Amino acid sequence: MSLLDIGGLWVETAQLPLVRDVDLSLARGETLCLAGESGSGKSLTALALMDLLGPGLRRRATRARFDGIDLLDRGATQRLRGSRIAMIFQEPMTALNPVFTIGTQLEAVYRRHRGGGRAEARRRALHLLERVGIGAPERRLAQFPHELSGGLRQRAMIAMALMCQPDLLIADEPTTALDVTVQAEILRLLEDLQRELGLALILITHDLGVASRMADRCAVMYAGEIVENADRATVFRAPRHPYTQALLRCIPILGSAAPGTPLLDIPGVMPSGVEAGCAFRARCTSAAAECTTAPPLRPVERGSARCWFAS
Amino acid sequence: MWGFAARRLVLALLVSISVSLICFSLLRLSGDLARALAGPQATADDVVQIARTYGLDRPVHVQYLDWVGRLLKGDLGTSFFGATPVLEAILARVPVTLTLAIGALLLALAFAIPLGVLAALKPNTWLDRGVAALAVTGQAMPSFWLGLILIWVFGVRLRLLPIAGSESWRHFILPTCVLAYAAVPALMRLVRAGMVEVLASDYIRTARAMGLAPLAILFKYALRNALVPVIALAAVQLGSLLAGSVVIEAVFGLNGIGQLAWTSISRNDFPVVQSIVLVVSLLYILLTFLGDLLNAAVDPRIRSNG
Amino acid sequence: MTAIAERRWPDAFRHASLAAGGGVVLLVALMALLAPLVAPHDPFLQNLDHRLIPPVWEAEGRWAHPLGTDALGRDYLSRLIHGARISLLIALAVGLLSGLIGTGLGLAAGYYGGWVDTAVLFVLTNRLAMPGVLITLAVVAIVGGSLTVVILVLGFLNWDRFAVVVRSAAQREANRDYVLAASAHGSSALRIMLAEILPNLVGPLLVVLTVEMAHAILIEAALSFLGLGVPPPNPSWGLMVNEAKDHIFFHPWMIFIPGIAIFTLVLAINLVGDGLRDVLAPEWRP
Repeated sequence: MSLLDIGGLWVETAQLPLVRDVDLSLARGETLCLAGESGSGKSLTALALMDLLGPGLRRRATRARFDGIDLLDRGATQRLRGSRIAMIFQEPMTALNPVFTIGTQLEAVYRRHRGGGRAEARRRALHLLERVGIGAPERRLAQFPHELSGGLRQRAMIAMALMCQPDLLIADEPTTALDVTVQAEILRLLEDLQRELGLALILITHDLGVASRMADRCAVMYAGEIVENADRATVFRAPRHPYTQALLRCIPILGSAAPGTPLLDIPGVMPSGVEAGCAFRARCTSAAAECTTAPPLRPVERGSARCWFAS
Repeated sequence: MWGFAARRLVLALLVSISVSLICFSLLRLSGDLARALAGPQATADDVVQIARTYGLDRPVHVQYLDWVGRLLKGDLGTSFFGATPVLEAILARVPVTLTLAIGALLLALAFAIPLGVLAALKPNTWLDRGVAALAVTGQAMPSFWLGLILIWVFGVRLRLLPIAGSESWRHFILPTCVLAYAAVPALMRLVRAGMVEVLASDYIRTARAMGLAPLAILFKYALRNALVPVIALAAVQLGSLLAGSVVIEAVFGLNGIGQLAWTSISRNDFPVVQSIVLVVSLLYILLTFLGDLLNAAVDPRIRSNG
Repeated sequence: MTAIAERRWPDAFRHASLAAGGGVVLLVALMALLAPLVAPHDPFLQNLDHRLIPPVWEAEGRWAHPLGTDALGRDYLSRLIHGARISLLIALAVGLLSGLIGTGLGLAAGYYGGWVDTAVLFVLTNRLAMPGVLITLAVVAIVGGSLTVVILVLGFLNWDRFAVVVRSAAQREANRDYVLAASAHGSSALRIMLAEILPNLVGPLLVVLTVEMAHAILIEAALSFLGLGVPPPNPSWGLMVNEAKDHIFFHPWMIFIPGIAIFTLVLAINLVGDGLRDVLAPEWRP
């Protein structure tokens, strides 16, 4: 049975839908990458799942179940947050409270969901800090966020997320704000933790390189919709949707072109409003008359794609 | 933390010295002090005599150093009227003014914090606008007039509270309310602005994402973050309340420092005026210093940067 | 959706309050300008036969003196109207004087930085440490009370907010490309500060100006109330409250009327200031 089953998820403001008709599913221990450019709706999807949307945003879904629990039930979701589903964010600088120590913040999560005294929470925090690769954990526990580097802060955030041994970890662009070398370490850490703890992971990223490394399955989002959803091999070697294909074409391969060849990109910009027909139509090289009607997400071999021409 | 405190202390000392210089010269503004003291009927001899008695014939820097020297020993001079040492006169009045100022600040905070939090929780609603309207009227109200109106309502018409004097605690109710009403707007705005910003912050989102209890998030975490600038402002407000008590003490007939300043000013009792200005300034410097320390204690980032 | 409707009403309210504030200020300004024409009587004319007449809405009131007369038989309405002149004059003069000083200091501190900035900050700290009200009282007591003295003292003491705002704005602008370009073209520092940076600060400056104007009116009223501001027989509103306080038992309206005038004018200026802030410096919106 799948751990997570989302169907027909919409996120909208009063004027505009921002996420449209998203279906997602995830099995235990699996990694799903939600890939797409800025503004494609990937973060909003995750926030909607967790019921963490800001003011002015509303969500609705046909179904939303986590291990049988209805995520549309706000009370139930509130209980799941931090205990069985955890989320870490992009900016470790601002994601930790500046006036409390690392220790206080980590212990608070544990004590909220598991009860228990300070000593027990502290032990768990120390164990996790070490597990995520932070040296001298006793010292770090008493420090404030601004005393840690970006990489350490992100590790501390991961530790905080793991305090109550969640089944699912949602990581929203966890490495985007970090140096390239630190990025690789954090990703490796996430892989290790996943293997050791049997953690399911939803990794949100705009970096296809990260996705190709981490994903078991990958869902590509564009303009608030899922345009392709398949396993890693299919998405990265034989993508069906023109957008995915174009994205992969843009990745420069060392040695493949003469020096001075301009880098490829996809001309145009992602639409911010809702357009009639296929959202990618304006930028698609294979657009045709049928594309004035919006294509549904149709199953194709080993996945699904939102294109009339995906076979 | 200690480095920060030391730096702040040095600054406070420097400002204290320059303030004392300003105080000292302020009095000499009026021209020849000896002649002013002697009065219009005095002869030249009288003026010389007075100058010698009060040491006004010595070079200015000598007078200044002499004055500072005596200050540090706690001698603030003697009033021109009667032989009371100024320090004694001031200390006798301090309790009244302090009670008034601290009471007003606490009352103001008791209103400002809850109102600010409420307004921040429901921004741009009628509640928020209502609270903002309250703040705006508080800033526009002349406090001496509000005092008189309240005296009329509660003292004359309803006869619930005494009209003047400082004998019982009842005498302090109205003046404290008037002072507090003037202090609420700035504090409340700061609380509201701080809370709005904090509630939208990434770290509060993290707290929600970790499933912490909503009430705990609000009161244990968000409020703590939002109150950081409020503490600094409160300390400074205390200083302004102390200085601004002149008017309120005049309206309500309270026997505090403000009243003393007022009487001394009107009869040109220079030693007292000079000392009061100095004492109030030094108190303000002390309060700002303490406010800085409190701030650093509450927000660890300040300790590293300040 | 209800959330949006909820938000629209208070916004409309805010614009209404700005319009109301602006309207009141204009009205008072007109009243002040045309005072000799608008006031029914001479505000200084005493008439000891007609002392302490209550306003029209009371039993013994009469239309000849719609707001009654004071203890010396002077028409209250006329004094109120002429008092507006004093309040507005104080507001403008003090606002401009303190604005000049504060802006000058702030520009220098923000543009030059370094020791100039440190010096200005030190002066500012000293100014903030000293009790402005007490110093004002002391100076007026020594030198004697008059409109000019009040304006000068208040102007020389109330520049701190201007300095703070202009300084931080100037610091921001000083690093912008257009300033560096002007400097590269050989413009003098003074020219850069006045011709390049200052025009960009007009918005925040106006907002602070309204705050200080309102502030000045309140301080002058308090000073005159204490007897150390504008001297009698001038119809300063604060002075009118002072003269009225002895009659609080039997003629409370004498206190209410000038106080309401002060409150209304200051409130109106504050509302205008808030409106200006929303338009010119929205980042300050609380």
